[in-house]
Amino acid sequence: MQKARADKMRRFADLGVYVEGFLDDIEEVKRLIDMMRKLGFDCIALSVTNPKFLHDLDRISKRLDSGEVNVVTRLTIVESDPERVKALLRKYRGHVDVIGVKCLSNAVARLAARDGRVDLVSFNLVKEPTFDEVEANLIKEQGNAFLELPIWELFEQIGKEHMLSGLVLEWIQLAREYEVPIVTTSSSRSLYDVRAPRELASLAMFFGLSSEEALDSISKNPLSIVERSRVKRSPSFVMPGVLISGRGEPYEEDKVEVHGIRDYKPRRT
Amino acid sequence: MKRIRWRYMVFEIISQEELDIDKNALSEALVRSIKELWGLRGLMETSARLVYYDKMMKRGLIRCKHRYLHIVRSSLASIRELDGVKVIIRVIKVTGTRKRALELLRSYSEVA
Repeated sequence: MQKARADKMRRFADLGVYVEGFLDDIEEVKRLIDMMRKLGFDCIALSVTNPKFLHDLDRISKRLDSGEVNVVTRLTIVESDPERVKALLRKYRGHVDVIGVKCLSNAVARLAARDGRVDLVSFNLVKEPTFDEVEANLIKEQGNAFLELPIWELFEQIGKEHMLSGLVLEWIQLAREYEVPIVTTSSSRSLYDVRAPRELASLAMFFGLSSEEALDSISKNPLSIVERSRVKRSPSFVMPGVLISGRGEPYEEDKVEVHGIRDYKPRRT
Repeated sequence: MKRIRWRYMVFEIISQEELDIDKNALSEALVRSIKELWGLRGLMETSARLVYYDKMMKRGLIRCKHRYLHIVRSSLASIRELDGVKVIIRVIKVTGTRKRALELLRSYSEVA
């Protein structure tokens, strides 16, 4: 009974809604957000793969962010050169809420796994590299990335080669073994690609997630990424573990000269 | 013998353009989708059946076994096009009785 109530109280997020194709049409973006709100999402990440759209994206997300639905921004880095990935992370980490890396080479995969600035790592089913033990172990030991399951992208790849679906099952087994959290995203590119949260969870179950894991992958896990990013981007954040909790009046010292330990009077608190 | 527990799924179709699809065509699309995703075994296990479909309201009712709800849900979600029109099939509510599901459908049509 309690579990059912907790399930009803869940807040859902889709961290992969690609809007590059219609970013210049704000009405279409608005319709998309309205649709996602109607379907039951509380948080949406408007995503781009090209950093040149980030300025527009930021402007639109600020304009459309409402109390009902939380609109955040995401940059997906699609690169095969690790140096280029590093440069992009350095430049854009502070500007977007979520950073995902689509690994096109082994070097990028390893970098994404151990770099704390990366939120989501995703892999291609058709080409190397793939999510393996080394990758999972690196994420567990050093990084804090989540494994992304972009549903429509995976379906498109499986549509071309059916045997590939087994590979996703292997990824999920590995993620379970190494305790790498999973985030399911729709990876939708148009208004009619988005799906309701529970439908998205059932599609994740098709890839081998349990019911609870599937629901966590669209609620608890993505929301923790957004929360983590919000904290890091807030002005009170200094470094991991250090936050400015408040600013008081400057302390004025008494004009008492201290010559020896006997003159010292402790400050009254 | 254990009694079969059914679930009734009230759904609606959100389409890009005007959609002219009848109950049989929709039922075929559902069966095709379940078969494609979960295979014949999935189709057999769910015993899914389109009970009712209102063409005007674009809302309907699917019955399936309670343990395999996720199979039908995912199959509905994986339908991206019907009759060449882009669609989203959204499950509005899942009920335990046919009576309650039909009541819900009736209430939706009254509101509309």
